[in-house]
Amino acid sequence: MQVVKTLNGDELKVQVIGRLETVTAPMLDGELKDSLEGVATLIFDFSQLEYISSAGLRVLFSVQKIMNRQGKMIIRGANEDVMEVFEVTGSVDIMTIEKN
Amino acid sequence: MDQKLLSGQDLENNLFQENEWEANRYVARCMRVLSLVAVACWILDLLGVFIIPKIIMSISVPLFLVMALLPTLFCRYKLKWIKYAIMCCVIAGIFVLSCFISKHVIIAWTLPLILSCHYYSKKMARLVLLMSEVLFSLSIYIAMYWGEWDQLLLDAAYYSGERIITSKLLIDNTLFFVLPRALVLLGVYTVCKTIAGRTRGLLEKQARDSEEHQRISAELNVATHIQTSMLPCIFPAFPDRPEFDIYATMTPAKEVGGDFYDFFLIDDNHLAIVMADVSGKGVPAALFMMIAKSLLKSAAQSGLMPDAVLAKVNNELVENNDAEMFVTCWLGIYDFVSKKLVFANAGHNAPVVRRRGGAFEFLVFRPSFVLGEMENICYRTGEIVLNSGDEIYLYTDGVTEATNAKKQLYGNDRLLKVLNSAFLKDVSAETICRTVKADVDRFVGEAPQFDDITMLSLKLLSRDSITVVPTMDSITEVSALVEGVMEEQQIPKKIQVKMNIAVDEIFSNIIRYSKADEATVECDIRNGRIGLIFTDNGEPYNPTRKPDPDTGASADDRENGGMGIYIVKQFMDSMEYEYRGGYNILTLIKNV
Repeated sequence: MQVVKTLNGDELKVQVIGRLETVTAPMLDGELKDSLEGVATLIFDFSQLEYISSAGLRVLFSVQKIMNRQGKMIIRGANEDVMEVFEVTGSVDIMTIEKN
Repeated sequence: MDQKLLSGQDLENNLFQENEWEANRYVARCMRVLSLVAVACWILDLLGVFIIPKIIMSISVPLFLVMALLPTLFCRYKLKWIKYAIMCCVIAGIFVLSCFISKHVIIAWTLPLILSCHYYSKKMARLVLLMSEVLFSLSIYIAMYWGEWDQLLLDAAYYSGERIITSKLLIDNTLFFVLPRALVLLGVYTVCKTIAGRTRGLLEKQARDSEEHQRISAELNVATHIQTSMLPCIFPAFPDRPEFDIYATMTPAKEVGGDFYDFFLIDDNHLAIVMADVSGKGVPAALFMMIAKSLLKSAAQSGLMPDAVLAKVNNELVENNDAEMFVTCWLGIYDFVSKKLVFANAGHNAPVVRRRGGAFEFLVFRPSFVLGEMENICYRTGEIVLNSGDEIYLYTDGVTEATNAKKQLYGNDRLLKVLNSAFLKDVSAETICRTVKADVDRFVGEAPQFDDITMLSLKLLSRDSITVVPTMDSITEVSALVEGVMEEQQIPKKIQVKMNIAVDEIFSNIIRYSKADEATVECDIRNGRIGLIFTDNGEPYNPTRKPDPDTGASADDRENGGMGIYIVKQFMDSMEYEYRGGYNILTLIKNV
């Protein structure tokens, strides 16, 4: 998995490439932990994300909690497989997911 | 089994009927021989060796020949009256001769009586006696007037002059010629009657014996059926257990045998396999085999370990073993979860084992004492691990000691050679058994089978599986295996993703919570279904019981747990958990 971060003012764009699962989720978690300070808009670009497991979801949820306090979080470009996980777990209701 | 027994009476009737047809042919044959004798005499007479007037011979012999050869024409017809017709011909032939040359053929009158012995029938003998007596007497009186008569009874004047038959001559003839000879015939008749009676008795006894023999062989047929149906003989034996393939055969040397095999599931997790050989053969061995088989099965099913099973069965067999029989037995109990085959051996041949990709080798283990000879024997236990793809072949000495016409033994080497032949790689258990049996048969050739030939093949079907110490690093290996198998089977990408997620969720759970130090993941794709089986030796934990997370809660209120299992439940078609023998076994099924 690869994480590409682009900071533009108080907007942070995070592109996740590959799989977000048990082994890779802690990496994403580590990448974001120190980067969220002062970020008002967090945009996840999931167009290159193959699939996501509950470990990845957990990271997203904890980031969502932080962003709930300091701004907003948007998920973009999720493919069908990723969307299915979001839908099954009810994540679509608690996260802002922009349809393609 | 449905073979109908002929009743004793039917059998006897058949026997006598057959004898009658045969007797007809024999009598006809005797008459042909007699014809040759008559022709020879005729020729000698014509040559002047005999002094019978040629004209008499030339009339009487052809007439006789007609009568004597007539039976040959119809002796083969299977009709009731043929025998009477034949005997009539015989008597008529001799009557003709007797009319012309009575003094020369007196002895021939015994022939019909002797020939009638062939029919083993007193009735026939009586009938022939009656006809013989009448026609003999008649022929003598006829001969007095026209034939060549016994000159001893006559004065020389009879021959030199005209035949003057006085009443004194008639009385003399009757008293001193006909009567004594008629009595001789009566004597011959009594002798023939006893011969016929006695032979008939023998034939009847033979009929009874053959009836008895038929009854015994019918019963043995039933016994064979019972015995073979006692052994598990429906294959595939466990159609709902795709993880192993088992096949066994028993070919008794006689109708019933002393060898046996057995296999049965003790529970879902344990398979018992038995190969045994009772000393001796035939019915005694078969009876003992039935007892031994039942005892072994009930002891094994009570959950005892192989050594304890053998010890228990041994004591039970010793108790009532007056016939001094014994059993050699190899018993193994395979645990599908721990993959261990625990076994004990009571004096039986060593099985052969093949590891996945390897060659068959003898499972060397010092055998303990045989069953049924001595009380309180301790049996040693052995243990080997059989992984998927491994197989074991059990047999009795009927295989290795099969003997050909040159008295050579089949032997261990030939057995290993055929088992390791290239065409027995990756074949079914049935093919293994059949091929070895065919090889033994080929080796033995025409030589008779001395011992029962019995064998059993158990194959643990190879499945793609990986066993690892569950750590975060190992999860990548597991995923790689499952992905590899799916790629190979060309599983659609969308389903692959779901399977990958499932592996990630379940295996990460095992890593985090089970405290297991060993976990196995098997991937089995067949018939449009993907099966994922997770086995770990950690603490009992049933993920299917885990309550579903509240998918409506906000991110702030979300509990961390349960999400992964919930995703798997949603993505899979079935998810079943089982705790067996210290192992958590979770089976996921996804229809493709």
